Amino acid sequence: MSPFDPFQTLGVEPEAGLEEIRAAYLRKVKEFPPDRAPREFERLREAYEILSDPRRRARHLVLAADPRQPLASLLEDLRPARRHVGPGPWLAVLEERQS
Amino acid sequence: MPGEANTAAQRQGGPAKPEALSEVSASERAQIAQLIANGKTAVAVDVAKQIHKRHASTSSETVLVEAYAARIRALAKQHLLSEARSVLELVSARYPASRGRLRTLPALLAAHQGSLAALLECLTDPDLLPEQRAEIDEYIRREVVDLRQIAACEALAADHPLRAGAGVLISAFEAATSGPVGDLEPELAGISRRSPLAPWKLLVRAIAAFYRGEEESCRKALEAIEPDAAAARLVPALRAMLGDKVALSPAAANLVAQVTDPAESFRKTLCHLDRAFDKEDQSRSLMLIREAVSLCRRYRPELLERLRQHISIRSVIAGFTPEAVATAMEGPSLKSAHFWRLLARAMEEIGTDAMGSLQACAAWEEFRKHAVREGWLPPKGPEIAALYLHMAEVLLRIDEDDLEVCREQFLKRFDGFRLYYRGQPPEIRALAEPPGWPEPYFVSPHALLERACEADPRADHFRLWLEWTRRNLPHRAESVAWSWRIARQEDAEPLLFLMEEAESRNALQRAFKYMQMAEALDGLHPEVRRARFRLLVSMALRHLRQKKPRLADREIRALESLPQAQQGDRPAFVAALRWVSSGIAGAADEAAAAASAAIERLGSETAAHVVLATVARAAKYSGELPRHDGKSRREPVAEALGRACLLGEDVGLPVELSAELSERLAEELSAGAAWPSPQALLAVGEAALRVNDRPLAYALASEGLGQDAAMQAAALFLRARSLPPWEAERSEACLNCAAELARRRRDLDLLGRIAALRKRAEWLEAPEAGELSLTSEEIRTVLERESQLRSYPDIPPEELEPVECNCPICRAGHGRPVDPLEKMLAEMIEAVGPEAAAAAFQEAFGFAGRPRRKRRRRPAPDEFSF
Repeated sequence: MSPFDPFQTLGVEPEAGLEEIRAAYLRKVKEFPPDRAPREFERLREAYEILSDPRRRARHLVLAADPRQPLASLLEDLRPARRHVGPGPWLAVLEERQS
Repeated sequence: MPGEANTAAQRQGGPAKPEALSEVSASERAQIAQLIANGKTAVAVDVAKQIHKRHASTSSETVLVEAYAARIRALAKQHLLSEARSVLELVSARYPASRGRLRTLPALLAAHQGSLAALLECLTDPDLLPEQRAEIDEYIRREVVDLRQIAACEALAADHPLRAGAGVLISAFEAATSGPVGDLEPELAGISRRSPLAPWKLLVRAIAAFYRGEEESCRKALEAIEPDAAAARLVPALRAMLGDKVALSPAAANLVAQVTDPAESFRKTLCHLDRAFDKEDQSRSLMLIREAVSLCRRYRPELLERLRQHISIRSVIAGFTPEAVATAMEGPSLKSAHFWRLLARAMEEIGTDAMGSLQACAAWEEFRKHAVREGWLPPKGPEIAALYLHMAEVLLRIDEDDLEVCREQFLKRFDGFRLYYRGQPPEIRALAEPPGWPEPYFVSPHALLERACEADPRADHFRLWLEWTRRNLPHRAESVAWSWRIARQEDAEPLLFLMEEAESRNALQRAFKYMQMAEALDGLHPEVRRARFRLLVSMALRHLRQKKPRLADREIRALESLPQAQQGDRPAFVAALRWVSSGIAGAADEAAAAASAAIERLGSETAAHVVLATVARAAKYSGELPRHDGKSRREPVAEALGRACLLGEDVGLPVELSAELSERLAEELSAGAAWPSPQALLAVGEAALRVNDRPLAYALASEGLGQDAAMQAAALFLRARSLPPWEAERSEACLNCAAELARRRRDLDLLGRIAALRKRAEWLEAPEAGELSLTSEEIRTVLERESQLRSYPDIPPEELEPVECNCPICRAGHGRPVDPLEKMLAEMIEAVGPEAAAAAFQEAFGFAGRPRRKRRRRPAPDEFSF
């Protein structure tokens, strides 16, 4: 498993400024509110706390890089492997047998 | 009723038959049931007709109607709905008495045609038979895929479990398939596991677990879904998404493709490449690199640069040929901040020696330049300081001696990563160091810590810098303290350091000035409070040595008014100062009063005499000590010496044991001495070591080991130093054990003293990494052994063999040439012991006198891999 990456969690680049980090955090919190997705929200909060403290941010920037990071994990960085496609395609499977 | 069968026969146009002769037998019923169960409903109807002809009874009619009902259901299942309806109409007309048994069949046929309302309406019928209710439930469980029909059925009350459950399932299903969801269990809890909707509950649970990545939970839920349930139609698709090999319908395959990543082959190639790197298989890795790069261009072109960077780093770790890797990647990787960060971390990981650490710091410097250019880090501020601190940490892991040697080699060979910059875009190349660049800062922890303090002037950064400088570059420590003082005027620590430095140079007035400045900043700082007392004592003693009692009197008065001078036995010490001062001034009465005050305060003539003698010696005062009245000769010497030695340690004026007191103490120890505290015992042990009375120190260590468990570390430290030279191994074991115990008790003071001894003593090798920590068992073994060995070790016979000694004293005795300095040093060691001699030498010549230590393995030049 790749280590916790606050930049990826908030969806910001390492060069993002404080304002950008804050905006990304608020955007993500709307997407994953604490009552609906408490685990996701906890990760977001942790990522925001790290990135909004310059010392922790720099320390993370330095230490979080893993030279032996599995190459396959690079794909997870960009797009989730399991996409939510809504109920349509799922219902199509259920209805297929009936027709 | 019996007459009904007859009527039916007449209706069919047959002759009137006599009343039923017999009931249908159990075997006949079983035969029909078996045929229905086997799906042979047409045969079952034929056989039931024969039975009914034979018996013509109510029970035979029931059996026949059951067979018809089974036939109708079978036709409906085969979607032969018009045929099923015809049979139903026929049977209903022919056997009106059995219509109740066929009540649900029209609704079932309607459901097969897509309208569920009539079937659900049956559920509200109070006369519905239990088996009919079960049949409807079974139909819903196996056939219903559109839960909206149930949720919207007005025939059912809004709070009907089926209708309410369907509503909940629709919402949960939509939520789970549309985005991340929290815990759905509270909502799903209302659906009973006996409900025909239970498989849907399991399906929703499986979908939510799948998206959360909880594969075990997902599989568990899928296994619990009955294979004939309608919801089970999604099980193969979910299994395929989990990676199982399953045959899929077109719709299921489409769903799997949409939900999972289409670039699965790319992912698999990367997994294979990871394994090839782990096995350091270069040829397979190169083949897979080519494949991965090609697939990356196809599926994730935006990821290509990042992938190349990671492949480069993994190749560095695996030790592959850089040119071959670059060719397989179709070009070099981009040397951006991301690359340098990975390279630096890789070098930290693979090069744990001094050279590897220097290479890692060089890579971190490249990272810094690129990170600033790319906006990852600002050029100044806490972020950059964090980086400098990390670089310093990397170097601080290495022994300073090794670092010094490797630094030279490194600087000769390091070319600023010139090869890495080949083929890079101009904006990257612009940051390459030009030839003839100045000596880089990153090879020196001092420079790194200085930059960290400049970028983020925090007290803990300065503390780290000062501490490192004090240990490694003592001549620059004062300038570091000044930098701290200038950057943070609110901190007392740099002033305290400057004060100590001035004090060590005997610049007491200057030290006092620094102390006053520190006091103005933080008068409650315990170090400041201790410093005022200590400095006043030093200044008073200096004036006493200079025979200036009036000046000393000023400091003694200041001491007398200090609250910290009233603590413990300190008033006795101040009284001793007053005794010397009065003695020098010729005020005999005053001196006698001061001596009495010291005796009174300590409650012991012996203790007071030791303190007075110590102060007199420090002040170079040769006046007579107050006369013994004989009482002191009968006093227990252990307690008196304990208090005096503790007081000496407290005021920074170590007590010296006289031969007479040592002898008396040794006698008392053999009879079982009483000590005021374990600390007092150890303080006397230290005093014994100072006069090189090792047997006494050894005996005191034995006493200490038997006392408080908290003092065992200090007692072992004393034991280690009290052992004779031929017990070097035992001494080292005691020292290691003491260090481990001190580490466990977080006794930093003792740890510092042990480290200082290791640095000073040439006969002690620095412990290897494995020796740094001892197990509890090993500690217990050492403690038990040392507690049992109470007699001072005898000299072994081999040491007694006459060999010609080569020491300067013996050489001089044999009339051979001797360097006077060497002779003097040998005599000093003989007289005061090696530690005191080393300390004296250091004081006299002003350098640490750090002995040559065994060096660790130096990296060979060919390990230098740029």
